[in-house]
Amino acid sequence: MGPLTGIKVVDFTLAHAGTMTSMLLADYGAEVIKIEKLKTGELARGWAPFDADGNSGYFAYLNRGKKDVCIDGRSPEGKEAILKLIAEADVVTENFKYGSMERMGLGYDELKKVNPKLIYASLNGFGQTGPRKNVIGLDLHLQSMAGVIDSTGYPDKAPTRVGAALSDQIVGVYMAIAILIATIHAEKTGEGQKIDIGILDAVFSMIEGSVATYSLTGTAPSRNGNSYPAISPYDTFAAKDGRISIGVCTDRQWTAFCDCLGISEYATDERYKTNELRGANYELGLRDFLESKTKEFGRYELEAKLMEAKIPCSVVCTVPEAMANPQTAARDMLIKVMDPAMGEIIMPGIPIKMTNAPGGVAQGAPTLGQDTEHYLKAVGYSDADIADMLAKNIIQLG
Amino acid sequence: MRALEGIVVIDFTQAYSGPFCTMQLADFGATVIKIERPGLGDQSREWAPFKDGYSGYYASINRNKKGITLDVSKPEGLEVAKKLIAKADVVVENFKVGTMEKMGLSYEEVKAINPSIIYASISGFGQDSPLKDRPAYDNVIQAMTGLQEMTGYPEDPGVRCGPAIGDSLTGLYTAYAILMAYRNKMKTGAGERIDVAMYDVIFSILEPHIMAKTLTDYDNVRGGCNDRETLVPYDVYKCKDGYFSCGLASDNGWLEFCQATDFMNLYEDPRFETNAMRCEQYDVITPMLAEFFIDKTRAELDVIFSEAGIPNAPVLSVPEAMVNEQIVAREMVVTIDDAGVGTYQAQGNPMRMDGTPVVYAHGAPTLGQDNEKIFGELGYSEGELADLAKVGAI
Repeated sequence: MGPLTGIKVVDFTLAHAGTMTSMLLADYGAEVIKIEKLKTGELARGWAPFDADGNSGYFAYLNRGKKDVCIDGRSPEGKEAILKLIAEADVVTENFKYGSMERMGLGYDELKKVNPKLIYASLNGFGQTGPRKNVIGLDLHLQSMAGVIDSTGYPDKAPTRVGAALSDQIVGVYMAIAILIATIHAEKTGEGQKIDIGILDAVFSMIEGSVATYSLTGTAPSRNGNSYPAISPYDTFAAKDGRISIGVCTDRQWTAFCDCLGISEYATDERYKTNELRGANYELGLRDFLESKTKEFGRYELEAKLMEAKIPCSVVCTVPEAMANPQTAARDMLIKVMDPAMGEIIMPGIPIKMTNAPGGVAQGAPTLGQDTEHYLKAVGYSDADIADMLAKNIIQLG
Repeated sequence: MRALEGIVVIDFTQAYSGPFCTMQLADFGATVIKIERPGLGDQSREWAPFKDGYSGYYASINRNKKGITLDVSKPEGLEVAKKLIAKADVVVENFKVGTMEKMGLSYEEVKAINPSIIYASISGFGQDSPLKDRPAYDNVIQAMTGLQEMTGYPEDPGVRCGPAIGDSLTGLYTAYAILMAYRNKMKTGAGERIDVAMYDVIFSILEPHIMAKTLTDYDNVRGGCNDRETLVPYDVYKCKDGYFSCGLASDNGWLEFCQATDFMNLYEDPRFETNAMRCEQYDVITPMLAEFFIDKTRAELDVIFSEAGIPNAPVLSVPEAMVNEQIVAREMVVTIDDAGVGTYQAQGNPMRMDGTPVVYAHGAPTLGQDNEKIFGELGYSEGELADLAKVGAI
């Protein structure tokens, strides 16, 4: 049993950001009823990677543990059925383009009439207000505007985006937090509310102290590759056979680091004695000198040496190397899930470990419409009603 | 009524990940009592930028919290901590694994004082794992999980995500975990032991690359800003006054893109007819597309692509983002009056909730600012507090 058992979510989300939220809810026991359009289903069913039969691994991961109702919300009968589902739900989630829910007659004001205690959570690129609210924002664009791209990359080269769908990941967690805050409030007061999350806002909130820094000192953050000006050396260095990231924060670590590299005389060198001095001299020769030394070691050899000296470090790994790291298995960060369309597949596990109510992935992503019949019956539709809606192409059964 | 009003959090966290976590709770009304070492305080009090000797870094992730000083390595201090914990809902810590145990505040000990406590730990590699004792900084986590190898241009070595995402995202996950556990406690009365690791969180966000490997045994490679295996055009292009990101959201929109850029010759070129073909021709088509951007400003490009309904955005520096009209309209830059650094600006909280909105009640606490009040509420007399101060416990 998960900590969210008993929370019922009618989930209109698609693609990545919103589905990330409802996955986080489903992982911990919420009943997430995904509403999909007929025939094609949502966008992410068409996203690579695919298995041999054309099923999307992307979709399989983001929609694990959810139920699925396939229904045409544009038809009056379909909309009525959706409203019946919402009347019994705690939460509605959506990440359509701005204004789409209202056009479908599913805006907050309308749904509040059906269910006054409803928590209604909207998510899109720029939020429900502001001059850009109508513009579609994808991960690339939101990393662009939030200052992430400008602060990522090498100083003498073009900036770069982060090589994961960072924006979707961040905002997915924020919206899940917001829903939980609203749920706790609803438990205490019986009041629902509307939540408005913009992905740009979420990513902007994650650029660390750079806003405060600019406001207090007028200094804009620079792009520093793998180094970090406030701490030196905090960087990635070449080894004989690859690369290794190292962080030396204290003078004690500096001494130990010099010992590991076989340059103990540098530990007391006047030019490098303090973090401040190391920072001032870093680009003026210290970095290159240190790298000339790290290059004399194999990457795992140097890692072992530094580990023994308790210096934070890691060989720079590829994703497959990380997947094979025993740490990944020990933390259950790759799990086997039985997907109804694809059979047993392997996907990332659950990062939050809880002892008493741990959550889990009971089943894979739903096939299109697999639970349509179940949920329609649950809100009072008969076999004849369902057959009638099927004949009119209002619903699809799995 | 504030949504999290009444939730009492005893906060042993320091640096970035833990304080960012508890700030989310404080922003929505939880009483977060931050415990710091007498004299020194949280290590981030020594992190730049500074104003009048106070850290703006510290200020920006500790707003809305109460601050007390307590040396729990002293028996007198430990006793005070236990009294605080006995009346709390949540304990959060991000020490090196084993530190809370050494201090006599392990989960078992805390549970003995307060059976329904929610006890959350943030660490690099988790509380019980092969690497649990290994020190972790954000750059170590980004290197070890593969995020760094996936970021940057193929011709250069992989590069770290600039902001310390390993800390902040782990903090967010932990805030989510605490709220889940609190809701469960409301329902069942049961407490919870929460264990969140930076390694697990950052590994999990690499999901498209992991799924490509497990499903098709394909090793994704870093591609700079593009997504050449999925969508073309979808990239960042150099323009007159910086860089501009632009691209299609799906297979549709190529005609509109070519109309907007006056590239009808490309639209008619049989090599570029479908998205799949453009993906294959990425190296051929990209220099052609780049020509359109090079002599236009970001503002001009914004108008052209927004009018055409094509997803786009300027690449902004942090100072530019701070005055961007969308960011401003969303109140994402807030001015806070801090007891240490004075008036300064920081990011707002992105969770906009109409019923229980965020409140920026006050800035970060100065060291030990709430000692008298909070210890007084625990029943300590002035004389007893003076004694505690004398032995260095507060």
